[in-house]
Amino acid sequence: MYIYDEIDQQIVNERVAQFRDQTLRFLEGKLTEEEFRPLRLQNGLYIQRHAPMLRIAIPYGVLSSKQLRQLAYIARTYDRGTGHFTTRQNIQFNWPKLADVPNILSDLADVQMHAIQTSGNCVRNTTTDHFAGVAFDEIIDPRVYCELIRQWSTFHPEFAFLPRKFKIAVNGSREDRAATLVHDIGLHALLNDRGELGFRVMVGGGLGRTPMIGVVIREFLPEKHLLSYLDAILRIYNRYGRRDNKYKARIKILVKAMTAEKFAAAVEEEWSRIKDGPTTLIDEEVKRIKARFPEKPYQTLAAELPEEVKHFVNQPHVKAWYERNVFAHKQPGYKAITVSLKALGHAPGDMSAEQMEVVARLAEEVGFGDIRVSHEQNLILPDVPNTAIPQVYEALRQWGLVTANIGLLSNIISCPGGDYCSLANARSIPVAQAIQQQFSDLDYLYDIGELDLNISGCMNACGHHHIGHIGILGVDKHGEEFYQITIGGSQAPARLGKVIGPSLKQEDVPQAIEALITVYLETRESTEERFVDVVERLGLDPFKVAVYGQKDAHTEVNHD
Amino acid sequence: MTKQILNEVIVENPFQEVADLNTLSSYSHVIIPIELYLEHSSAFEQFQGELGIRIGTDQDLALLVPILSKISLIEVRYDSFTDGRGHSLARLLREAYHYKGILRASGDVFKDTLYYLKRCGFNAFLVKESETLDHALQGLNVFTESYQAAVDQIPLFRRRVELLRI
Repeated sequence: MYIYDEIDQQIVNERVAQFRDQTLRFLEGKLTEEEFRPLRLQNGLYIQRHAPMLRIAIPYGVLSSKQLRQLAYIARTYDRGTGHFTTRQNIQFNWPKLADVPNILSDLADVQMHAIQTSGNCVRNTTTDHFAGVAFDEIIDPRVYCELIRQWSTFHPEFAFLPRKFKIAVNGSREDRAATLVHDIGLHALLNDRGELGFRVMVGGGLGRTPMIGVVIREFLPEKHLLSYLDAILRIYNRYGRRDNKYKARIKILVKAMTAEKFAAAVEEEWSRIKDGPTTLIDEEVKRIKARFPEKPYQTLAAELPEEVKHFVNQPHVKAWYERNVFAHKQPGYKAITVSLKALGHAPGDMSAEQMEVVARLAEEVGFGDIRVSHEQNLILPDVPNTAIPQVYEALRQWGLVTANIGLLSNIISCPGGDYCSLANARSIPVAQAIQQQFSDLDYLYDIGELDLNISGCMNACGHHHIGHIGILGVDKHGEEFYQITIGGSQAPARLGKVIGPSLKQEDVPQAIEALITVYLETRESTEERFVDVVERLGLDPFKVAVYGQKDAHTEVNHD
Repeated sequence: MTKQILNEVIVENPFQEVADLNTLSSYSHVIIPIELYLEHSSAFEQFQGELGIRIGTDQDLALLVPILSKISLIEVRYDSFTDGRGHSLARLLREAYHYKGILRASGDVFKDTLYYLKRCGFNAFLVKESETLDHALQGLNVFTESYQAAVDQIPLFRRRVELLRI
């Protein structure tokens, strides 16, 4: 994590005091609901079905052991002992009391955390690759630029009240593990032919009601201009984005209405006025931020697994886990290990206070007290020496954290859905659980291979259903919950799935997924060909027929 | 006379609404909507007193910029404090068009909105009916430091070393 200095600390402390005052005035009737609502949202506080929901920022998914322990404390003290990790690398608590929230924020500030701008029509938490800083294919460490963006966006006075929420993602590796093409702004680090660092800038991607893939508006933005260029994009959006209809208010609608070329030209014109001004980055600042991410004293280790570890991971019950949940590290002799929050029978992304403490302790014992949250709703232990793999496996296994399903069908991404969220049309978690139940046989899952299944309880698409190889969207039909299925979506390269037919009842969903999988297994040319590749090759028809039968496969599809 | 916050203190608001243009010469300070100015520009060009123009958050700056040198107050009226367009307008007036006169926010303005408005270049405020000027004033400086550049400050990263030395 980035370590605060006294100024960073003072800013979050002053935020706690400000929010305490606002909450008190609301409870005393001195602030109206209309006034308080936007203010509390900018602190991540929703009023939900059962109780308020508090969303806490985990900047670009980076946590320390100490911070994770504090989250466990908060779960136990103010919630019912559980937290829910989200697809935007944040954590949500579903049961806090409104009057307790200022105290929660104060507990967070004690460990250099906050809930600033985790909701509301402002710049949200910047997200990145969950292997940032340790990935073997990294061009730059994106955490430094994420932190620069975090500071630039925190209480940005001009962009606190945008037409709609605004999400930025940064990718620093060759493979895009940050889904940058489905963000309002996506930044992709690259080096030019002189070896200088810059960013490819993409705008207008997003999921939600009108899913779109971002378009490139600048091929190479030199590093030092990063923040002034963001200012220019945000200013165009703030002034001209639609405010009359919240479903048409995201930047993607503006980019589409103006065309990408005209939008880019407007940004460049605005930028020409502020370029080279005080917001231009200075080398000292980039160095300062780098230095505030603690150095990791890696040992010099052999790249090969030691014999006894090789033997350990080859055991039948460990092999699948090792193949799916262990990721190559840039440092020889180390691995990044995914802690699966997708155990059968549990809501995807949910974690108990006890589990949090186990992971916090492990991160300190074997690594450097560094933990990551992935947008796939798992945690990562980023620095595990090969020799510690058996110890980590055993500790995680005892706590149900070794489900060997990373990249497989049962590694479902899901929003909290109608059980908790007041926006949802339908429940997500029972559907996720029913599918996990249907596909609980690990050998079968293995045979199916790589498959992303994403579920959202409504159009807001928090579960990223459009970019799942299989996507499931909860819809409301005359007060009843139905589920629309899309196939062929993908996160990298970013591609949106297509609807296969009329939406289904909840009890029919697992069977439909089974039918899709059967078509895939019968038609794939080799085990190398993934589900999504077969959809690409054959199109939707065979899948439609399998789910709806010959006759119904071609009926009109109602997208709403 | 009503009161306003101007440069962080509570003072009289001398700008008055004009009901009848024939009586214009009897005022020392007037405030009018920009539409009225554009319709009767010759009458206002002869006006000897201080002129204030009221605009909305969606004002087209091309109509306002040519008359900036003639006016001493621009009031941006917020129908809702969540309409951030006014914040961009304010920064553009200060930073791109170098407007030096009074820039005032009115409408849905209260304690919790003042800090951002001030940073965007507003130096005067009329608060909403349910708010008092004394209470609102406390909202002007809720944060001691700010990270990014705005009208009031260069970015923290250009000041940080100096600040931490003190």
